[in-house]
Amino acid sequence: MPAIYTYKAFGLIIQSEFEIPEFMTSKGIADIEINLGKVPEKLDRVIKKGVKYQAARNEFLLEVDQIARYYVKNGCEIRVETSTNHADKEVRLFLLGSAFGALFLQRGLLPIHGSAIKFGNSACIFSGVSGVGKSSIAATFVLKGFQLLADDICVIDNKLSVAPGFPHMKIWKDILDSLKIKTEALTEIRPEIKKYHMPVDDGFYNDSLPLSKIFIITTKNTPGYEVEELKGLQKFNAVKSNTYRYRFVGGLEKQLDHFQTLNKLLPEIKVYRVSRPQSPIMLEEFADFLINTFKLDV
Amino acid sequence: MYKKNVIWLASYPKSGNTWFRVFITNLLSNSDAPANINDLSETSISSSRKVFDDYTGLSSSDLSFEEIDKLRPEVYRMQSEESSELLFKKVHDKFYFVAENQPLFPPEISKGVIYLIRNPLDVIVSFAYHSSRPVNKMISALNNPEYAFCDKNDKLQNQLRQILGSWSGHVQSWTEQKLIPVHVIRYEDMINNTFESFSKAIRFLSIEKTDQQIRDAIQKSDFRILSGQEKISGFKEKMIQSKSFFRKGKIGDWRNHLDKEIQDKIIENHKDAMIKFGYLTSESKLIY
Repeated sequence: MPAIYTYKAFGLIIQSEFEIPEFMTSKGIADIEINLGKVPEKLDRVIKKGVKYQAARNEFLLEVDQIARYYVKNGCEIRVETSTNHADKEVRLFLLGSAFGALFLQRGLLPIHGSAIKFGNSACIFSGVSGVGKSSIAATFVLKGFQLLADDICVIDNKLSVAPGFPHMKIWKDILDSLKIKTEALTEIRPEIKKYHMPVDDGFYNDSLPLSKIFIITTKNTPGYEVEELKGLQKFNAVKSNTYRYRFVGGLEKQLDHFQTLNKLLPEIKVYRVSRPQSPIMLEEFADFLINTFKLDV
Repeated sequence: MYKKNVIWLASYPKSGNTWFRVFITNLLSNSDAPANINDLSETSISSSRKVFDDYTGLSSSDLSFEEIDKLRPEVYRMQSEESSELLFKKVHDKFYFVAENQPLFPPEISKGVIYLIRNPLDVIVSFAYHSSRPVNKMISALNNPEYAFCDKNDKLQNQLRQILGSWSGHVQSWTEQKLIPVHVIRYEDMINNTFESFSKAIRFLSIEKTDQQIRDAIQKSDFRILSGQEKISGFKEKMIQSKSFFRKGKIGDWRNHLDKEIQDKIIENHKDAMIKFGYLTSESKLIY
């Protein structure tokens, strides 16, 4: 019998055959089981294919060359196949990314691509396209004493709250440098990529909080910051397109669940498009702008 | 079974690619009004990080440059498969192989390449202005066989890495490859013989449009319209440091900016390609 590790993340009890040090340990009856083993070559009745994934009703297959293959089933099981039968940090990187993304969608949860911070008694999500500075601005708030709920994937549960993820962030070296965080004690996500795992420990808020705002960050090539509240179809489309791995939704046949969740959620929250000057990102200035504009407080 | 429905609009930067994209957008649009420069679609940029992430199901920010390169041809194949229309994709990468027998741009889905080329002396001036860098910095870009965009591994850049190589290396890579039919357009001909130049390209792509439709699209893509739109509402593809994207677009503007030493450095390095494409006589006299 292999050892079993029990964790809680994203509001779910997770039992794993291998250690996932990024997660917080817990007890209880598992909602999700993660194990090592043989993963199917392909899925029957594929509904949607990507370059590296296949999705079908209640089944999902992901392949990362030279790293691992992942099989996600019924929203409650993830099987991982690696050549070494061992799950190192690179194997876990894609597990905690795309594989969990598919699992959330299978469970009818809404994963938003972004990072969530606790402001007062509610949570705000920083969302937007890759490279826009979601994790960077969240890390800036953490350094200012605000608490993190989730980095990269924010899960909205059935009560329209953000479920706490796990107390880790992934931050690029240039941002760590500008935040004056030394990289010596941190581990790189992969040998060739200067992006680091940054534990947040005390800066983590380990309870779910109602979502109040989503900030969709965009860049612009003029000076100054701009804010626009999105309404109606714009609001709907902004949140839809920032759903984590939105293209999985159709393949998993979850369009209806997704649509209904958005319709339930959107009247309860505000969505703002926040445009910042392109580069370099001025994190302090950007954080101060957000604090002043939205009266954000710990 | 692959469809040959992708057209690569390839060029070294500042060689008329955006102008050509606006022209194509106008040509294929049914609207009477000129196309909005800010509505050129994101999916038409071959180095788009978003498109890559969407189609692979992975975060490009978790992958190495080599891993991304290996997957890019598959992303293009999938886009081709899903599209019932012609796909025009802007490219600044040079043409190269990501693995044995595997070019970055898959021939089996390619209808053709429009390769846009411009006098490298004018490219330098425009490129320097566009990136707010001194002209001598740009010489080292044009002369550098390893030159690339977005190739830092310590930060997340807005686009995927693009290897350009040197100016003449770029020209050669596209114009001498034999796997995808290529049609070369000189920026200078786009200015001096606009109709002929654009209609030849349209014939090469076997797109059925009348002379009048081509003339209308040219008119809607006039430099004054593009720079006018930019003055009013900006252009999202401009770099933050530069004043405007559509600056002058003139032929021979380099004479106002480049001294003899800089000219010689460029000519020395790119002589063969400059002669071949009519920028230099065999006696090394500049034509434009």
